[in-house]
Amino acid sequence: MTSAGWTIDAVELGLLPDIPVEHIYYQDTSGRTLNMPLIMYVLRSGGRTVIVDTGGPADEEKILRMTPFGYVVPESNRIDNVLDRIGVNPADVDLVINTHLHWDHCSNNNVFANAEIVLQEKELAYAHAPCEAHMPAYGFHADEAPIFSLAEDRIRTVDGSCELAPGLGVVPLPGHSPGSQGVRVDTVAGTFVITGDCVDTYRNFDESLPSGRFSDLDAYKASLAFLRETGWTPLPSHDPKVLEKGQFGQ
Amino acid sequence: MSLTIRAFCVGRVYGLPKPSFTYLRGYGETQDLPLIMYVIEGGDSPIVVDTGADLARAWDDHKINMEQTTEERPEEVLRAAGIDVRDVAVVVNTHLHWDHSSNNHLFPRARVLVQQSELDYARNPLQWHCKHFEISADIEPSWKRAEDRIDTVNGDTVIAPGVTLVTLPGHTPGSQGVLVEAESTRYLIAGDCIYLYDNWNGDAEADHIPVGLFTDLVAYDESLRKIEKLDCEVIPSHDFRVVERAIFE
Repeated sequence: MTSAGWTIDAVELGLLPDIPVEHIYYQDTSGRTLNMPLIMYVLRSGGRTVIVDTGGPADEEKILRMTPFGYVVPESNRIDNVLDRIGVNPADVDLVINTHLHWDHCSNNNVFANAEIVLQEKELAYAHAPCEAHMPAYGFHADEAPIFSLAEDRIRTVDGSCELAPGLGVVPLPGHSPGSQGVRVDTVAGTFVITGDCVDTYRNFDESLPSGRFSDLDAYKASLAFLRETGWTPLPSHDPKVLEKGQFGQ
Repeated sequence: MSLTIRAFCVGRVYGLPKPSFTYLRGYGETQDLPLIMYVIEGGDSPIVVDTGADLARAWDDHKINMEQTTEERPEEVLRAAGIDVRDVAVVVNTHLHWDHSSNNHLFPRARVLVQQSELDYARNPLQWHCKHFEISADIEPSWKRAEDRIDTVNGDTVIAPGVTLVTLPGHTPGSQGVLVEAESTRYLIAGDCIYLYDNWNGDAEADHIPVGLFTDLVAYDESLRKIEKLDCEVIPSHDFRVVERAIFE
């Protein structure tokens, strides 16, 4: 195994329909709506498999708790079937990385029963006590435990940039949420960065345009500037074009 | 003599998207708003809080559908209320967005009190916020019309007996409110931390609803919690009910 040997698969775990475009492009007042796929990234190198982000729930009752608008996950896009199709046994996954703890990025952490879950210390701290306007994003509803707590005993936090394996690391990208992070992946086709919601779609990256959902706009701008300076190829969190290509780093 | 607050309508704006008033709520709906100038009376001299917008720039520079009758022009409002602009020693801007600070120059003898952090941001905003401060190649910002008389403050500051500036960052980095000890009640002129009574009163999901325009939502939430502890009645910045009530005493 070389240090530049990762391959990346992007798979869909659901589709959020009719999102107001100003959620995705800050100050876009056109009134349009867009559909946003929930994307899980599967990284493989040698015999090892690493998962980045685990999507939202697939059961209707749980979905409606997260978003009143709902969405439908076809049988083929349920996480068990997706993993089966791409040849991943979830029990063999020893590392899951969450770019952040919004419900649509971490709802299936519990599927990977043997995995350590890595995220930024700031994100975990904030997820435990988000400001009121952010509570729905972290899946707080009435007296229920938030969704990220399903596998919380396996969370390991890091503070700042950090290498997790040869050719694989995380970098802080605060702004969308206080502890958002990106995942840097070295491949034979160059270095990629799984951006989390710092970059919802390629347009956000191309125009250095924040999404409409943020905790701190100044930090967000700095994170976008940082990403551009790295020269790494972005892999956005919610762009259908990512799924059309599907595989990266080959 | 005890302090009273009068709220004057100095223009109206029509057809803004509702989510800019109520965070993540009201998609597809629109909302109209009044522009409000407040005068605190009963102290040594009248204190003016916020000075409204410039009608001439509303459409051309902001693409905002604004109306203002002659009677609603700030100088006419004050004349009709028997307030001589030369008697106003202090103007407070809750923040430096154009719709709150465009007529500071009407008060020739007033110091203009602004948080230092607000002035810093107004001079160098993030690009998405430049228009709100009128930072552009085409026009000089309205808030600079009395720039030489701006006095900055840092943090919570008593500016007169019973009148205190309180920092409320979030909508902008240096937003502030004005806490006024009136005879019956302690009032907070909240600036754009609270546009509408609906923002303060919240709904089934939330105690309070932030407005849709902000720089830092976490700081904003802390400002809302700060207001809770002030034991005051909140006066929103853009609610028609404030104009209807007109006097807070």
